[in-house]
Amino acid sequence: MTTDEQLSAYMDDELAQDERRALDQRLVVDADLRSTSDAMAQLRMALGSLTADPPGDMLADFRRHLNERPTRVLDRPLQDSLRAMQSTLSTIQTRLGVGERRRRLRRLVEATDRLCPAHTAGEYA
Amino acid sequence: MSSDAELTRRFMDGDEEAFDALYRRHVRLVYSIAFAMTGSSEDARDISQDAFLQVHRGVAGLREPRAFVGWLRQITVRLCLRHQRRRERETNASQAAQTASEPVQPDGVAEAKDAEARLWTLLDALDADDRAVVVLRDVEDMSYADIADAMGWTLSKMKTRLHRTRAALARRYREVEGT
Repeated sequence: MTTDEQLSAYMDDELAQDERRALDQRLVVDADLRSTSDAMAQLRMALGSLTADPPGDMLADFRRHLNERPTRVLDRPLQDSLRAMQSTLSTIQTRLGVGERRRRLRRLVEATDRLCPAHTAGEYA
Repeated sequence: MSSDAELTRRFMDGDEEAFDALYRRHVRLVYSIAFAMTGSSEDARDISQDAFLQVHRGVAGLREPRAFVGWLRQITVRLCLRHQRRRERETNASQAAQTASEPVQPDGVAEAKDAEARLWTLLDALDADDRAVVVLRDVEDMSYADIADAMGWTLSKMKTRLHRTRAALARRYREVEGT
């Protein structure tokens, strides 16, 4: 770690005690290092002011957008089936061997196609 | 007030009001990350809506409702990184700096505006990953562990990247601001 990088760790209180003490001593005698340390602190303060509040209409806009999507025209049981399939897919991907994974995936895709071909093609292909 | 885990469980059971409550609770976090990552209120809005859309669509795949916020942060950061990488490919550095400084027009004296514009320019010069770690730490005040989790990195890699980026950024800041 360079000395400048140590300054960053110092700022977050991430240095070991002996490293911190050594850096403190260097800061006393090294004006250039002090200047970099000041710049880093100022920069952090300036960055902290870059937060922004979202516009107030975002949830309404989100809901409007969601209602226009094809998933919303599906009835509740069908949505539940699709969610269950997503969950099964996740299990298949993480727990099974390659051959079995392929077989089950094929069955899952066929079942999903039967349930809602347009939805599958548009959203999960 | 219901916890995130409770709202997430209710949403998993199909309660859309629970989703709305989660949205209202966390939209500021998502929007703020996206704004600092892109420098554009329009892009921040689009990324935020995409993030919540992914949440709405993918909640069935979330195994642990208590992990909701971490999952949401991961989705947001991933979308921001994808957006920034695309922008890096599409624009050259000078165009990017110009674009980033445009949307930020805070009230106040011209000097403050200039300083903020210079800050955006400095951020714009970073690559997407470097910008993300600095934003998540110094703008959003996230813990090292949460940043590593959001970036999909080890803690050690995250620390190395953060300290290196801050050091380089501080040097450039000194040149620009004359401190």
